[in-house]
Amino acid sequence: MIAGAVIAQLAEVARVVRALPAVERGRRTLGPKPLLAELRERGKKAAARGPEDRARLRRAIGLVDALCPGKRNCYRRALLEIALDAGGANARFVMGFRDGEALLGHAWLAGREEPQDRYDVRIEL
Amino acid sequence: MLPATTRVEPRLAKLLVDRPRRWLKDVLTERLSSRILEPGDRWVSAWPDAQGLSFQHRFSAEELAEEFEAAGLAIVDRVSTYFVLHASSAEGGERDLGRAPVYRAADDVRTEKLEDALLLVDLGRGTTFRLNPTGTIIWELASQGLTVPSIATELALRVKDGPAEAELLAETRALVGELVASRLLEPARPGSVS
Repeated sequence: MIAGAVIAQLAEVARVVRALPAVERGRRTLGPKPLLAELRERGKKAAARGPEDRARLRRAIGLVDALCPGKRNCYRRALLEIALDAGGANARFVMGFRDGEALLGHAWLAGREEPQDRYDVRIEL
Repeated sequence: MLPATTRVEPRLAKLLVDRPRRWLKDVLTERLSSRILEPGDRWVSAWPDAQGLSFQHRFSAEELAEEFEAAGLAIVDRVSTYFVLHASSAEGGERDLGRAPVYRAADDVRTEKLEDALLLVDLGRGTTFRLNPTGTIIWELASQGLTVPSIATELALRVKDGPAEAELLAETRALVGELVASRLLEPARPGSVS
């Protein structure tokens, strides 16, 4: 039982690692509009997940994101979820901006990971 | 009649004729496509044709300038050759051929008001720009299709005790240039921006 869960989690990590190069390449070269269109096409072909599978995918994404060079990146996590989950591909993608001394931004999928912080501007795609 | 001058050496002729001719061809192509110039303008048929070019072979720059002015054509700039500001249109009356370009917001740019600023987000390219209140006015006027000089004039009216209009013009020109370079603004046809 536990072995099965571990194997399923490892398989999910492998899926995330396979999707990572395309997501990273797109993140560095395309704006959100064309990149979302591309990744949603890919994500719609993936399996639609129930709550348990989705939680497993999100754990795998969190692990891979933490192991990537540099800081953890909310935009990368949201894009990976869109590319790997049919439900994520259909979810609204949200960018939040908060004005201050510097402009702070956050990205997430609506209804999945609503942030605690308030943002001055929300752009949904 | 224009007085004839000395013969021009081939190297000088290349400099005086070939290069300006190529430059003119490029400028005319661009200006015709953006409808700043239109077929039928007297300037189009009078200047870059064989007769116009032969003037450069035979006459000095000063003589050409005198001749153009005598014909009622205002020369506003000299970049290898002459640039004409006004010419009679085919229908009669004057058309401004050297008018400043106008712009419009690029298609994928979203604007969002912040408390004391304007946020520009280019969804196609993934870039963000934060404009201060003066930059916000410049953006709004530029994306409404005003030329840079018109924006500076409007700014001078709106900004009380602000910098001199010449300074505002320089600032406006710099910001609009930066916005165009960042592809947040793009050139528009005159009259096409509502």
